Amino acid sequence: MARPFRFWVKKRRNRQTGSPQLAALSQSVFFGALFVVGIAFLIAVIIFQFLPEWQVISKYERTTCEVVDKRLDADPADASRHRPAVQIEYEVDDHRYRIWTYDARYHRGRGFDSGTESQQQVLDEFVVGGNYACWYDPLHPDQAVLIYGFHWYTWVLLLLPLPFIVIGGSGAGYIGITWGKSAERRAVLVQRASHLELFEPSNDYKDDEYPAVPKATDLTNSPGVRLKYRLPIERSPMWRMIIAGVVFLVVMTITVLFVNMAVQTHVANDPDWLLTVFAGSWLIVSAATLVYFLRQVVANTRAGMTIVEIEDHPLYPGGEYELFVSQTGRLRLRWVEMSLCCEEIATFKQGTNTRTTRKRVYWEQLLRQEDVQVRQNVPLEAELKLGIPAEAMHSFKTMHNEVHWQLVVHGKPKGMPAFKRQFPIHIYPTPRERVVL
Amino acid sequence: MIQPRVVVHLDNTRREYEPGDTLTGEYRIDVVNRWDIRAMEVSVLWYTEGKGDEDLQVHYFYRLSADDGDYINPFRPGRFSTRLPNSPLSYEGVIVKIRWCARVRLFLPQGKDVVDEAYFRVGQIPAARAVLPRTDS
Repeated sequence: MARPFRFWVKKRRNRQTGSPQLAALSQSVFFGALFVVGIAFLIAVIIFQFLPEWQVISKYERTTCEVVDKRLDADPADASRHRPAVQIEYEVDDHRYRIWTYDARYHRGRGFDSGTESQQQVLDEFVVGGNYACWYDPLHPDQAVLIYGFHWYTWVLLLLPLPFIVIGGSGAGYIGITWGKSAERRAVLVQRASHLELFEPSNDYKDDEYPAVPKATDLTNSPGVRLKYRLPIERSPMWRMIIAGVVFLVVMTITVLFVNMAVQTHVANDPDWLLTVFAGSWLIVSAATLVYFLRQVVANTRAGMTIVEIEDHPLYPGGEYELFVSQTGRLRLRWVEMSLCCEEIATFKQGTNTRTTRKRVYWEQLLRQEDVQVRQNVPLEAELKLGIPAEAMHSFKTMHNEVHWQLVVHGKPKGMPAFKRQFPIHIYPTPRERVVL
Repeated sequence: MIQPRVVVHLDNTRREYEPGDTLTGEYRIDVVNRWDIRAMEVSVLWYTEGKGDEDLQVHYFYRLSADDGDYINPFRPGRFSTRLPNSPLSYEGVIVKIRWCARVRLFLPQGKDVVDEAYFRVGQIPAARAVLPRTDS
C-alpha cells in the first residue's frame, strides 16, 4: 500500500520525494546565473570604467591647458543627474584645441551623478583663466582629460563581481563534477580528494587505521605529573566569565545612555516618564547581568583549576585505567562528583539553520564526595579506577554525527553556582587484530 | 519493456562480521539486453541514520562503464570481496545509527538507475538507550 505523503518528516534516502535530477538542474541554473551575472558585471566594469582610465594612463600625454569656461551638464536621460564640464584650451603641434572635457568617461557620454553639490564642488576646484595640467590622446589630439589615474571606486567595482564569479563558478563546477554520479562515487571522490589520492587507482579504499574514530594524538600531547597524560579540558570555564563580562559591558553602556537621557529630561523640568520607566528596566537588566558576571568571577577564582590525569590513552572497551583528579581553589563544596559519560551528538539542517542535538546514552558515577573543604595549597585529590564497559561503542566522529565520551567533573560550591568541567576521552574498538589496509 | 534488476547476496548468511573479517558476496543481474546496462558500481560502505544529516563513507568501490570501454557481462554473476576495517562498528544508537551495506547500482539509459543493497553488521555493539540526565542536588 502506498505510504501517505507527509510534509513534516525528514525525507532522506528512499523517503525522498523530489527528483534529484531536477534539484541538480535547478542548482546549476542558480549557480550558472550567478556566474553569468558576475562575468557580465565584470566585463561591463572593464569596458566602461577600467579601460577608459587605463587608456589615459598608458597612452595620453601631458600638457598644460587654460580653463576657459565651466558648467554643470545635465544628463539628457535624467535631468536630476549632473556632471562637471570644463572648457579648456591647449596646444599640440602648433595647433590650438578648445574642447569641453573632464575625465575619461566624459567623451563617452557618461560620468553623470545624482549628487549635484559634490559635482559643483569638483567644478569649484577649477578657476576660469587658470592653467592646469591636462592629458591628450596623441592619435586624436582633440580628446583630452583633466583627471589622470584611476578613481578609487574603479577597484571597488572590479572586486564587486568576484563573489558572484567564485560562488557561481565553484557551485556550477561542483554540480558539473558530481552530475549523474551516485552518492557512493561522490563519496569516493571526496575521500580521495581529502587524502590527495586523486591519481591513485584504488579499489580497496585506503583510509586511516581507525576510520571515523577521532585521533588520540590531540589528547596525549600533555604529560601528567602523577599519571602519563593530563587530559585537556573541553571548554575553558573562563569563556563563560568573559562572555558574561562582555554582555554586562554592552548592557551597561546602553543603560548609561538611556539613564542619561532620562535624567536630562528631569533636569530640564520636562520629565519623560516613558523614557524614565524604560531606563529603569535597563537598570534592572544591567544589575542582573552584573550579578551573573560577579558570580562567574567568584566561581572561577574560588573554584580553581580542575586537573584530570590518566595512565593511558586511547582507551579500549573492557579496559581498566588509573585516574587522578585534582580540584584546586579555596571553597567549601556541598558536593563534588566525577562521572563517565557518553553522548550522541547529531547536527542537522532545519531550513537555513544548523542545529545540534545531544542525547546522553551512558552515565556512570566514578566518585562523589559531600561537604568537602578545599583550601589554598591543599587541593582536593583523588585516585580512582576508570572501567570502560566491555560493550561500549567506540568514539565516532563525522561531519554531522558523533559518539562522544568524556569525563565530567561536577561540583556545587556553597553560595555559588555549580561548575561543570568536561574532559574528552577517545575509546577505540576492541583490539582484536588490527587491520592495516 | 522489462526493467533490469540486480540482487546482492552475501556469502555469510548470518550477515555478522568482525573488524578484519573478509566480506564476500555476489550480485546477479536480470536483464534481457546487455546494452541496457551503461555502467555498474559495486560498493561496500557505511552511512549514518538518525537525527543528524547523513554521513557516508565508502570502504570498497569499483565501477565498470560501457562508455569507458569496460565489458559488463550481465549474464554471469559477479563477485566482490574486501577485508573490513577496524571501524566504525555497526551501532544502533538513539539519535545516531551506523549501518553497513554492500550496494550494487546499475546505470540504465536515460539517466535511470536500479540499486540493491545487502545489509550486514560489523561488531557486536548492543543497542543504546537514552539515559536521563540526573538531577543534581
